[in-house]
Amino acid sequence: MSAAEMWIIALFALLVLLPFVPGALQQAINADDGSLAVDGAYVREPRFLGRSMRALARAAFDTVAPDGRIPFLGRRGEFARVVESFEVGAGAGVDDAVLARRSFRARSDASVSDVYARGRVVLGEGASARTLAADDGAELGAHARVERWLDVEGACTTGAFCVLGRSASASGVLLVGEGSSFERLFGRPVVAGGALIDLSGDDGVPEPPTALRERLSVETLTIGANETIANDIVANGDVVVGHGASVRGSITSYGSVRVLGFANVSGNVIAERDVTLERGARVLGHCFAGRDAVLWNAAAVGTPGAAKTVRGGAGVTLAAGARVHGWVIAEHGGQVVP
Amino acid sequence: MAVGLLTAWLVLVVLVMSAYTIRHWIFTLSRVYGRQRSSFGDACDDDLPTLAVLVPMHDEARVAGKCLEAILAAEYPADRLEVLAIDDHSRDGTGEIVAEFAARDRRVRPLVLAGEERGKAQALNVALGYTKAEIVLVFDADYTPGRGLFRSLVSAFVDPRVGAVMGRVVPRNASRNLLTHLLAMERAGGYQVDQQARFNLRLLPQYGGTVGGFRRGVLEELGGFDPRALAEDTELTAKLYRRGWSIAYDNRAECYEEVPEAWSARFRQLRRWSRGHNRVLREHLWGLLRTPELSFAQRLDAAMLLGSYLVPPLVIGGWLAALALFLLGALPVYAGVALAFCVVLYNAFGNFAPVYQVATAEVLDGTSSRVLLLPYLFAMFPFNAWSVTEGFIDAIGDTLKNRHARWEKTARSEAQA
Repeated sequence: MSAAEMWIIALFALLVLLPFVPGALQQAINADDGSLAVDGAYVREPRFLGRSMRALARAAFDTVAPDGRIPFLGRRGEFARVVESFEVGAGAGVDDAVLARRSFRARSDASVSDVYARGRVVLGEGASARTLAADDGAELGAHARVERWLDVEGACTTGAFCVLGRSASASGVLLVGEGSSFERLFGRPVVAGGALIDLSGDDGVPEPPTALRERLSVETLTIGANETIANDIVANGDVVVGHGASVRGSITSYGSVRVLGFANVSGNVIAERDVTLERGARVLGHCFAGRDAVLWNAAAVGTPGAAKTVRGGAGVTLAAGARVHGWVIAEHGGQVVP
Repeated sequence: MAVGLLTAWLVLVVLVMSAYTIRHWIFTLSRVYGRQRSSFGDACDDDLPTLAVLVPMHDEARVAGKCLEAILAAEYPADRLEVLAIDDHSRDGTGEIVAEFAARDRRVRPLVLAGEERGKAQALNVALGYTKAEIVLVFDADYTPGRGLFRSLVSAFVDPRVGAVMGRVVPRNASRNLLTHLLAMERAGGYQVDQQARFNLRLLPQYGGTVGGFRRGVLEELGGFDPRALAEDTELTAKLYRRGWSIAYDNRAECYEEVPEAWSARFRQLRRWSRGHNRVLREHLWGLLRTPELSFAQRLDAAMLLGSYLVPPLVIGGWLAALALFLLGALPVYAGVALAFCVVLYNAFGNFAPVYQVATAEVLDGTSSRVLLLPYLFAMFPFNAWSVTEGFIDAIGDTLKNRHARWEKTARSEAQA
């Protein structure tokens, strides 16, 4: 074999081996070497953020003297004041986080950072907060703004045209004012509009059946007014549940589902496109819409004893008086309308 | 005549590999640019169904305790959860561990199999006779489910079309050696991209036998698992789709597993999968292609899913055909180049998809440095092809001799303290 041929073979071997060199180095360096991180302790739940903050703040309450100032939650350059009660004047701003053993109040147009109060929190008209947690109810004035999240033990009432950040949750009633925007809401229940409306007749709606039922497969379906269907429905097209009709099962549609006034569905409503619950319509299970979920006035989802979820792949619109016992998820933003 | 047949074989290889190339290209594009479909894992639900968690164990003393601890720590109403810990002919003390857990927690129900035939499918069938739960989840003993995993998986069943659900498997021992790194990459490509894309595109996500579950009533309706099945998961997948049920995939329902650390264990695992998979192909492909429940795209996906373990033997046959043609002096240079090009394309984008699909998965997972290992994955193809081909030959033998394949579990590499 000539020297030239040997060079060619060596060059060929080098070219073949070259792609393996970065991998060998990567093995030696151990970059991205570990397993993909899976948080085994994580449980998906609507009030996760509030509960995490409370757990972190608990140590501060136990160890820091009143009016003390501590580095906040390990964030660089951020501090928290530990106080008894705290009030921010109209138009004033507070850069530090506030951990209040009792109540917290920010007057109109005030601006605050993170707030946690073991008592009640009041955010005045036009006031803003980055995050807000309260252990004894909260009240937000009109045009108040929460940038990240809000979590409340007890009831929470928001005025009109509030901005509720990424998540707003309450262990009790979450009353969301007209014109407010949100991404995720959780309440027992969530009620759209300025006041609770009595939805009579809850007791007459049957419980969701749990056994596997025969499925009713159809193209498109219109259930007549006051009719009763005792099956699950799987439809390739749209489904319309007539006024006052009753479906004792779940509805799954590759199109849209429209539940007309005062009709009720005892199972889940799942649609690839839109789900619309008209005035007074009731769904005891979940409502999942691939696009928009729309609840008209006094429409209701879930029951007081069983939290359920309304999810809109695009958005969620809640008209005044609409009520959801559980979680509202608007993937691209939701709003409350009159 | 011989030249004609060999050339036809080569053309077939090229066509098949091109089809798989296109398929996986579409999957990757869907995962990166398409609308991502989510199952209902983020639903909040107080009204959870009754749940049975089945853990079949054969000589799993090294891992059984950790698995059962994780299951009992899960966030699920205690009055709606039962854990059927199945001691399947163990001789290493697994039974004692199961008995200890049963004594301290009422949710654990021990099942000791001694007389019946051994094997996962058989063990699951026996356990299913002892539960009336609405939903059944299955975990192998080397899996450690997180606290929220059961809720996430069970949420998929709010859709009455869903007959089974599958979560994402994540290797725990990825950093052990080169093989585990490569298997972690394969898993990432298979779940993060492949399964999610099939779910996005409404094709046929696969039930994987663990980190997943099904409606008990549906499985009863289907007659349970075939005790002779080596790939009971693929078999259930095929049966469900033939009956019009769908399978949900939840990419966020992640669970750690242990991948083989020895090349010999990996070889046997692939061989077993291939053997079982090809049996399902023989028994269910025609039924899947004829079922009116599936769209054309779904039938095509079914064929390609079940055919995936046929491709390596096909390719090896192609190599031999090319060699024969070369020796006969009948392989034109352009045909050889075309064949080599298609083999490279197949490796890049096709069934084992090292370059495109796995790289995308690693980037999505935030572990992009692993992309540097892709040439090694590429080089592993002959190993994979040979083990799959042996499994294919086993499957042919099973068919011809009406032979009953015996279940062999994958060897655990270490105690998971």
